Amino acid sequence: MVAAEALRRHIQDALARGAQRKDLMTLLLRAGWPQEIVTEYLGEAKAQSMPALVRLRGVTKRFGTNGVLDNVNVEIPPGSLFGIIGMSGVGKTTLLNMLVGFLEPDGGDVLLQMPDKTEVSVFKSRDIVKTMFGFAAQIPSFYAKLTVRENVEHFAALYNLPLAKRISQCDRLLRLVGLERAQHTLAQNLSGGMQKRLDIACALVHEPSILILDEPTADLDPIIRNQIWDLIRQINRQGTTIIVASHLVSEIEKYCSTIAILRNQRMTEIGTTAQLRDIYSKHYEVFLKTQRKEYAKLRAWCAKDSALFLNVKEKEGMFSVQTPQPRTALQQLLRIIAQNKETITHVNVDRPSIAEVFELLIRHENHPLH
Amino acid sequence: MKTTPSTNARHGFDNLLILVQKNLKLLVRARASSLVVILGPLLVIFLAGLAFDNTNLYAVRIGTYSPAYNDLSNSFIDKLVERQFQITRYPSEESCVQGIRRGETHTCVLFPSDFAIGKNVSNEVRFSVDYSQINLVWTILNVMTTSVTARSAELSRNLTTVLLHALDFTRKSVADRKQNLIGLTTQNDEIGQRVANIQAELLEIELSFDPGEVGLGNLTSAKGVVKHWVDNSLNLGKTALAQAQHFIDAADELVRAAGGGSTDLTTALQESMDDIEELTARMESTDTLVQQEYAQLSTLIDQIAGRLTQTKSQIDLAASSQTFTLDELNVITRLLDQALLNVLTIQKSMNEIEKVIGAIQITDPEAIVQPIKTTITPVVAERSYLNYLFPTLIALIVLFTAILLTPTIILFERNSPAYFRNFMTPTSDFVFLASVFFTTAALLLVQLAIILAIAAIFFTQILHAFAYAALVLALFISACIFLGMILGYLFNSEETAMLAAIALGSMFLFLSDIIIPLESMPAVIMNIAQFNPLVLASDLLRRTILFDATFSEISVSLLMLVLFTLASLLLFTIVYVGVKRNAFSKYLARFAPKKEQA
Repeated sequence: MVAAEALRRHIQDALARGAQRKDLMTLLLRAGWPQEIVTEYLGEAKAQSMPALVRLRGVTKRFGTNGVLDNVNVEIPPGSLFGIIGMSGVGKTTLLNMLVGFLEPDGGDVLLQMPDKTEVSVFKSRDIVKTMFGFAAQIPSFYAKLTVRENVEHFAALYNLPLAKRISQCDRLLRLVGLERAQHTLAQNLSGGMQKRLDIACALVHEPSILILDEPTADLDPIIRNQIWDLIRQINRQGTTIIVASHLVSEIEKYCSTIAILRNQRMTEIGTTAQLRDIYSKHYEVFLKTQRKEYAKLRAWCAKDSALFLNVKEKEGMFSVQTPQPRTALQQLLRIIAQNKETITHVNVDRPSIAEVFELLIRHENHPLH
Repeated sequence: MKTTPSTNARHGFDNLLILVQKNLKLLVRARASSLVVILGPLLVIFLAGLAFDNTNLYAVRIGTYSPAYNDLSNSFIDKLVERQFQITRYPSEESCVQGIRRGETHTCVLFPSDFAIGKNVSNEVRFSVDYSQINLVWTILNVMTTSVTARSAELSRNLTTVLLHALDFTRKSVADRKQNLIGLTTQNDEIGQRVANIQAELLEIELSFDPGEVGLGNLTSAKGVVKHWVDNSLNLGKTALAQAQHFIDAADELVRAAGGGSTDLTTALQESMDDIEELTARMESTDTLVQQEYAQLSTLIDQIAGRLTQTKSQIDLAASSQTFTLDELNVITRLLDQALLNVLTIQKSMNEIEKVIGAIQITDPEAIVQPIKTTITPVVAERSYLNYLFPTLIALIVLFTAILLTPTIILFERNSPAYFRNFMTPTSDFVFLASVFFTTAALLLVQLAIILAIAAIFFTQILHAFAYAALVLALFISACIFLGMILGYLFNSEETAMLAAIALGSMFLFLSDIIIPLESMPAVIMNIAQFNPLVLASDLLRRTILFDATFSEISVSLLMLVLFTLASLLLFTIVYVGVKRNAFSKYLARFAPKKEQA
């Protein structure tokens, strides 16, 4: 994880210094970095360096007396996999609905960058919005009584695709989402994961520039979730900007290049995982697991130096401790373990997860951390 | 890609087809109720075709009750059996009526206990009917009345025949008896004449008698005078004798006083005295005799007087009898006159009777029982009930299919999660609305095509006169679909929309002439019901399908249907614009997490 973060920063720095993306990719692949990682990070870096594709400018929305969004300002770069996290009911779906113009804000605007670099309001250019956005809502939106193929072809037709294009597009999308073999199955007979994939396929029939996904993995089991995220990333890698809203923070953290935290009616934090971690925690976390899983001596040792060892925890057989000096802390801990003749089965040094940051933020909702 | 109006139109048309295709697929694959909506009407028309392809009501079940069945009541029942009705005889009136309530029978025929022809009875045959079976009751009443009337006419014919025979006999009898009456008149006249003769004879008999004229009074007076005179004579003789006596006595005394005078004188005196005594004795005797004779005369006169009185009495009696007889004869004369008058009146009456009977030209009992024969000729060639029902059935099927199916399609869409995705597409609302319209219209056309195919099995005329009917159907289908679309957008749940559709359909049904005639409704309701699209459509279809009406004949009703269709479209547009404003927000609210809006 440390290496991955280092790589991300390295790529950003290199690009900032004017390095060519192609050269940088060749260099990194030669250095042995997996192509997938390099492509993703380069994509993220590119997205961050480009002007915003979607821009929320002072968006405010109220339902009656209940304020949902208050002066929200966000810029979503093209090609990014943009994650929005927030507690359930915080306004994520409302925000997404406003992105595509379903709901009009009480104040502010949502601007969309056109290919000619001009910006249009989504509320004033609904036809453009309809062609540029794809939307997969929390509840899959298709006809349960139509087959998988019929659904995709139906929506392709409504986007005015010619018949030949419709068929080829349908084939391509079914292949993409892995529903080729189920193409003649009624949608109502699909599993939850397959329904979600069909929903995404339906949202992509018109090859939108921006795909909005609202809770794409809610109510799915972990394996299916991973499959869905793999699909999302695959779509993203093909150049589609993806905006995902989810309350499953760990998934957003894991897959999204940019994360926005929605709380208190505002987008309080926006940035990459590393940036958010940097903003909210300068500490590292050391994870250890020994064969005997007895950490009493480690705890005692940590208690001696509260400046070096912070927030000592044991969870599910794992010992963890936060520290501002990971190298020193790890050396000391390894030494104690060696003295005790313990065998280490797992060791890792990482920054606190976004989930933890998010948890921290929520816990201190009314007490700013910095 | 640049879009032009022509490409937009092409896309719109393509999308319309795609959406109609999708709607049909969804309907076919949806739950059974949708299939019922689609296939139900076809089943109804098929069954109606089988059921009503006749002109009789064979399935009518009739209960009968009579305290004493007899030939007459049995003949009525036989008449009903001839018409192939199912007859059930009940043991009591109550059980017969209960049979209707239990649904065993449709009507109950109650015969009176003394049901017979020729007696002085009312012969009232009563029908108990169930008016709640409003669609059947009039037909049953009609059939029953026809059956009973037929039998009743049969009996009337028999009775009329008897009556005519009696009349003929009377006519002949009158003719025969007219001579008798003439004889009676002549005899009456003769009797009158004779009575007059008797009266004249009687009047000639003089029965006046005055006893005074006989002079009995004079006789009695004379008797008295005679007696008086006799008495006076006797008294005078007696007085003379007494005087003579006295003189003699005086003479004797003088003689004696003279002394003895002469013996002769004395003797003479004696003798004179003797004579006087003798005369006196004789006088006495004469007086007695006179008295006796007078008494006898008096008695005789009295007897004569008595006889005269008796005679007078008898004559008086005779006169009285004469008077009485004359009076009686007068009465007889009057009676004879009256009798003659009566005979003349009878004669006149008999002449009139003969004339009236002779004037009766219709002597055929059938012609008298049914002087006017009614023959019901259908204005169309077909005679099965299906023919008459067909236009109404078509209108009903269109109405109910449209107002049930259209909201179903709309609410399938509105309540489907896919509504959200449709909203994301550039396909216009108009295309979606048009797809609903054409989906329902397509289904209705398929249904109507099948119905017509089925109908062609039963009769053929419809296929010749379908041009205007098609126009009427197109308008009515459009109007009903617009009504269904209003319901589809007014209500959010399929169940509520269905209830509203059924309520609306029922309202149209009850405000039409399908269940009860418009003419039997209150005037206000009737005026409103005339503008009921179901009434307009079924009437137009009846006129176009059954009567081959020309355009000018149906133009007014057609115009009203056009106006109703346009009004439905306008109302739908208002409802749609009003509902659409919040429809998607409501949709989002339904599918978005509630907490965000709490």
